[in-house]
Parts: sequence; structure tokens; C-alpha cells
Amino acid sequence: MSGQPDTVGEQRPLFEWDWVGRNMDRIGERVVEHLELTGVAVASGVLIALALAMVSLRWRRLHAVILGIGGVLYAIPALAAFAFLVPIFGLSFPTAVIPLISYTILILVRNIVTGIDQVPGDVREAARGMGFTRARVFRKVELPLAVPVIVAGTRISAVTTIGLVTVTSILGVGGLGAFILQGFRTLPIYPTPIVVGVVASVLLAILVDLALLLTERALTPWARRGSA
Amino acid sequence: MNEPMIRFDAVTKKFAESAEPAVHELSLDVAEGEIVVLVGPSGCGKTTTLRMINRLIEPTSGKITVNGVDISTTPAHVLRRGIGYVIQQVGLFPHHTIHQNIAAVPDLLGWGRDDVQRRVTELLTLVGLDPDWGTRYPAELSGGQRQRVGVARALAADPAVLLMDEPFGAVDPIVRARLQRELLALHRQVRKTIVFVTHDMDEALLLGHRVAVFNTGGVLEQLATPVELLASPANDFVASFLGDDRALKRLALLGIAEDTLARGPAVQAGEGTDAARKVMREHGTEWAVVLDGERLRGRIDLPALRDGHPVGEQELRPVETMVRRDGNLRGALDAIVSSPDRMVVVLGADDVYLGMLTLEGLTAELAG
Repeated sequence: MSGQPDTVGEQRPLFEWDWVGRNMDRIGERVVEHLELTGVAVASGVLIALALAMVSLRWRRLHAVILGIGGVLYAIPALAAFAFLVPIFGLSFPTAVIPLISYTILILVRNIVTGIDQVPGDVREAARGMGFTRARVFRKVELPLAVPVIVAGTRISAVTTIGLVTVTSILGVGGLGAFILQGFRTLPIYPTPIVVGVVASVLLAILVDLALLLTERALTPWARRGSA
Repeated sequence: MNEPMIRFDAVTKKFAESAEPAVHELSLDVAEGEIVVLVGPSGCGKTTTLRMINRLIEPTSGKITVNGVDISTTPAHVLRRGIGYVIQQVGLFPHHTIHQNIAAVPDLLGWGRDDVQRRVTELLTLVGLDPDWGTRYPAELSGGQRQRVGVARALAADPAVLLMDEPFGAVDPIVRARLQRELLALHRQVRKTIVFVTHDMDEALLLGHRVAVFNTGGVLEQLATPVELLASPANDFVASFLGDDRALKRLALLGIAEDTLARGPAVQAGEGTDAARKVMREHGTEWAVVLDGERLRGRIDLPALRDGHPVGEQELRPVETMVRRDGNLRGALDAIVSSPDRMVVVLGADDVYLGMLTLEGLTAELAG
């Protein structure tokens, strides 16, 4: 029975289309898990970064401190973070998502603060002069004008996170990384799930990036008009 | 007689970083419907003075009232919603359409949708923009158009007071001149109390009912009408700030008085050549203006006269140098100097001939 993939000691082919056909449902599940982890991590990251950015804008000295802490978090290797968190949360969703969130903070805080800093002074002055309260200036003027820079940071974070979620699979929380692990744990090495895991996560990164780009365009119709 | 719209009562502003006050013991009244221009070199406190009126800057001491109310008793954001504010860089919201920009303060005040729409259309028309432009974004407009939107936005909630901080400083001279004329026309329509800051004395003299000249250290050197200011500057600083051509600037502010006009060499179209020769001889000219009743028809030159026909049927030439009754003496002087006979025709509405202005007439008006 040559060509049967389960023959021990035989080299398996690099890619088998029928594996994909047989595992369509599981691929779908893994994609959903992958998106869930990414979505929760990036969304939480944006909310936390927004709060930290508001603190940074109000008390400028804290900005450097916050960026410093963000930089340290960013530098912690994922595996080390898991090793630290597993004793607390076990092999669970929080253990996976907490490091993912922490990796988004540096880029997001920096971009939100930069985005708001580059709002032209005359626009802010006009808003105050017309009787906008400080909170309203932030909500109605500064934040909308910072959208392009904030979305740019979010895109980088999302793409990075999609790559990292592949690693979190070692915690058994699913995601496309599970296929990669599966391929390596089978003997002999089973290339097809590995290829599927890698290609699918790259495609996912591209699609999410594109979706965020389109979101930005929808949010900033003003940015593409005029300036002729 | 009435309570002033804006009153500064011994207002001083000191900034922590500087020993000299930005504004020093300023007392100043602005009447309702008046345009007061604050002018002076940079660092003279004119912008600080303006920004204290809407509490973007708080005075160190003294009191400011708007419409009789001490502004320190009104929350700053509430006060500002009742005061129009126009700045040099305009500060339109780039992410909002022209409509949304103009609607900013009405929205803050909770106006209904239909009222806002009506008001935006009205204001775009008032400032000379197409009401259909409401859907455009600021980036799609020229500098002059953006400045007009800025003025419309400041007027949106019909504030009694308009503060303008070098509003025309960033547009080119031609557009600036047009915006200045439009502002005066607008003021004739809406009669707001306007406080206007500029460093350009000519702009101040053109726009201000009264001009407040500030010196460094926030000292008000003189507050007077443009004509008074030019005729009798209070001190050397004011005089030097007004410039060397003070007398000419004053001429630009004075209108043409009809009682200083001479009849000049004028004949009716129905009269004969004898009559024409007679007025030319009397006035020592080789030409005369030809009138149809009150109205100017043209001019006839001595060599072109053909006997036997009324002057109206002869070959007339257009009058080259003339000024309108609503022009100013500076324009008239220019015309007089450039005419060979040192006189210029003055016309009223509908080309009615009012007479001739001569150098003697102009001197008489300046003296009187």
C-alpha cells in the first residue's frame, strides 16, 4: 500500500489536498479560535492603551514611565511569560491572552499619544474657544483626528498578535498553531497540517490587516478628499 | 449712554515666566455694535487682551464684564458659546464637513436639526459661499474660503460679540483686501460688537471705528477714531507706528465734501460753441465737460469745436480722470496730481455731475 501516509518510516508528501478536505471543519474551528484570541488581546490592548494614553497626556512625566514599562513587557519572551503565568492560571485562556495584551501596549500607547499630539494646535484652540469642554475636545476632535495613527498602530499589533497566537497553542488553547504542533508531534513529521497552519495564519494576518485598513478608510472619509 | 458691551476695568495680566506684565492696568470700553481694533507690535499684549474676553486667559487682577456681567462668574465653556471666535489659522475641524463645522456651537447648544440646517444655509449665503458646499471638507477649500467658513462658524449661534485674532493674516493681500471689505459689509448687516486684533496699522485704520494702540509691556498708548489718531497721535510711539505717510493715510479716511467743489468748465449739450468757448476761457482750459441736464455726457476739446452745431452733437471724448462722490480724498488727490489741469471731475450716483475738485478745494477741506 505505497503512498499511504500512515506508513511508519516513510517520508510523507509535503502537501495532501485530501487532508484539507477531511479537516475542513477543524480548520474552521481553529481559525475562529485564532481570531478570538487575537480579537480579545488587541481589543483589550486598545482599551488599556487608551486609558494609559489619557494618563500620559494629562501627566506628561508618566508618559516616559509608561513607555518604559511597555518596552520591558515587549521584551519578555512569550515562553518565559507562559512559564510565569501557568502556575497562576494553569493551561488556560488567560495565560495565553495576558502576554498577548502586554505585547500590544507599547505600540498602541505610543501611537495614540503621537496621534493626539499631532492634532493641529489651531483646531484645538478653536474648539476650546467655541466652548468645547476638555472631555468633548478629546472625544469629538482629538480622538477622531488621531484615528489614522491609532489604526496604524492597531494594524501592527494585530498582525504581530496573529503571529504570536500560533505560539500560544502550546498551552492547548487552540488556534492555528495547534496544526503546526500536530504535524511535529506525529512520527514521521506530518507536513500537511504544518503547511496549513502556517499558510492560514499568514492569510489571516493579511486579511485582518486589510479589514483594519478598510475600517480606517470608513472612519476617515475626510482624509482622502481635497488637499489638491 | 448705554452700558458698554465689553468693559475692561484696571485689568492686569502677568505671566509667571516674565517680569513685565503682558497687559498693564487696562481700562477700555467697547460699545454695542462697535468695531474696536487692538493694534501694536508683537508682545504688546493685544492677543492676551482679546483672549481674556473669552477666558482662554484669566486676568491676574481687575475685572472684565460682557453685557454687564462679570465674566469670571460664568463657567468658561458657557461664556465661550456666547462669543464668536475667529483665529488666524481658522482651526476648522478637518474631519467635519463645512456644515458640521458651522453647526458646532448650535450643536453644543442643542438646536434642532431643521434650525441648524436653516442657519447653516443662511450663513453660507451671508459669507458669500455656495450653500451646496455644506457637504465638502475643509481640505477642499481655498484659504480665503476657509476663512469665510471660520467667520460663518463664529456667527452661527448669533453671538453678540465677535473676537477676531489676526483673522486675515494668513491669506494673500488680494484675498485679504476682499475679506476686509466683506467684513465691513457683513458688519453693516449684522451689527455685532467686534474686537479685532492685528499688527497691521492699515488694517486697523480701515476696519476700526476706534483703534487701540498698544505698546510693549501691555500699555494702551491711545484709543481713538482713525481720523483722530492720524490727526493727533498722542505720542512719538503712536506717531511712528502710524508711519511717515500719516497725512496721506488720513486723506484716505476723509470723504469728498460737496461744498468744496467748483462748478468747473461745464456746458449743456444743447448750448452752442460760443458758450463752450466762453467757459473754457473763464476757466483757462482748452476743454469743457458736456452735460445732459445733471448727467455727464463726455468732454469736448477746443480744437474739435465745429461752429453751427450744439456741443452735444459734436465729437465728444470720454472723461478720463474722475472720482466718485463716495471715494476718498487720497484717490482724489492722486487724480488731481495726474491730470494736466490739476482738477478732477466728481460724479455722484447715476453719473450726476457734481463739480470739479481742485487742489485748492482739497486744501480747503483739510483745513476745515
